[in-house]
Amino acid sequence: MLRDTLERIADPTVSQEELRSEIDKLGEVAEPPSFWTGIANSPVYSARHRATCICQLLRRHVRQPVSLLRLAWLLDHPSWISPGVVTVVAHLKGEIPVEWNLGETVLAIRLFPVEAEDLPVLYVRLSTSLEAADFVQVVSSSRPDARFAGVTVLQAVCGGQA
Amino acid sequence: MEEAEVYGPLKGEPGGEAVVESPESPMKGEGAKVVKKAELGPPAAGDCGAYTWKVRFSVENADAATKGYIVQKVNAVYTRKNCDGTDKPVSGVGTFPFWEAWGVREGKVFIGDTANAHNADSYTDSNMGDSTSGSIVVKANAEFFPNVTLPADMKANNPDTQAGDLRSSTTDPALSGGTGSIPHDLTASWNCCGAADAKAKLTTFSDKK
Repeated sequence: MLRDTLERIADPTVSQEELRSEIDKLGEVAEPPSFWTGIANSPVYSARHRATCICQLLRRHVRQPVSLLRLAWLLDHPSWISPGVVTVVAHLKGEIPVEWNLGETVLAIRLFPVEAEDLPVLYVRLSTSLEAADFVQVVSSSRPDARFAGVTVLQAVCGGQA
Repeated sequence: MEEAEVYGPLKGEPGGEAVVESPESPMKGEGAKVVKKAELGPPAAGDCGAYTWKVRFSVENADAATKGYIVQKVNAVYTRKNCDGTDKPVSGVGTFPFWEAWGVREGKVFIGDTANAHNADSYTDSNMGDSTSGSIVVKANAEFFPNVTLPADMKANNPDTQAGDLRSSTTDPALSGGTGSIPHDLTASWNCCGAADAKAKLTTFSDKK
């Protein structure tokens, strides 16, 4: 059952509706994070399919605070994160799906903005001050950077218009 | 299954902050479905213009049939000066005024059209820099509009506004049928020119409504 569901989710030709339906069938986390990163980082899939799987990766595998280095490991060299899509949320007169607290950092990562305007934004809340460029460097690097060992990812949640 | 449910977080109760009910409650007619605002705490001050203030909206007398949008018109004026009194304009803060919307479905409030439950409307700004002084004057009005549809130009994550994940636009949606608006104002001020100690650098607040 789970295997069939995962096979359909991993099918690049599946429709968005069927993809949603299959994801809805998933129960407790039984698949490895690499299942989602394999899709997220592959250009074989549509931007919408990849965005959906990125959000599921975070939803299912980052349920508690984790270290930034652990997040980098989970994302596994994300081809979809680059300096052009990551910004620090410095001003807000509205709402995002993570908390904004003084002394912390909230990053907004636009998922595939060139391919589609209506894809979700991934919000990442960090325990300390961090520049967007440093975040990109950490998650893109092949080697853990000890300077960021103390940074914790408190929340990582996709927002976006339904 | 809604798309937002695919993208959204696990469902659960919003944060457990202490809620301070606002005394404002216009249109107190029996059963009137009007927007209500509750502070999640007093404004929190950081250094040199940094602050955050959070409130939570709800619809008074809402029931399972209540739907529509809470729409807030937000205007903000940023003023910043160098210590010699010359202007130092703040950039990258978007366009004002803008209009932002929380979805109301089955009497509950959500972040725009997503399945993410509304937790807090935040007024938030980061440190405006040492050796500056200034103020951020935010004036807003929120109102519940039952059974309306938002114009297509109100988009989530609109780069022209500070609305975040809410659907927003810099164009007035010109909705009708509102049930009465409430103010939502705050002025944050700072003076980091010759501040003698850390306390003197803290942002101060006035005109909170």
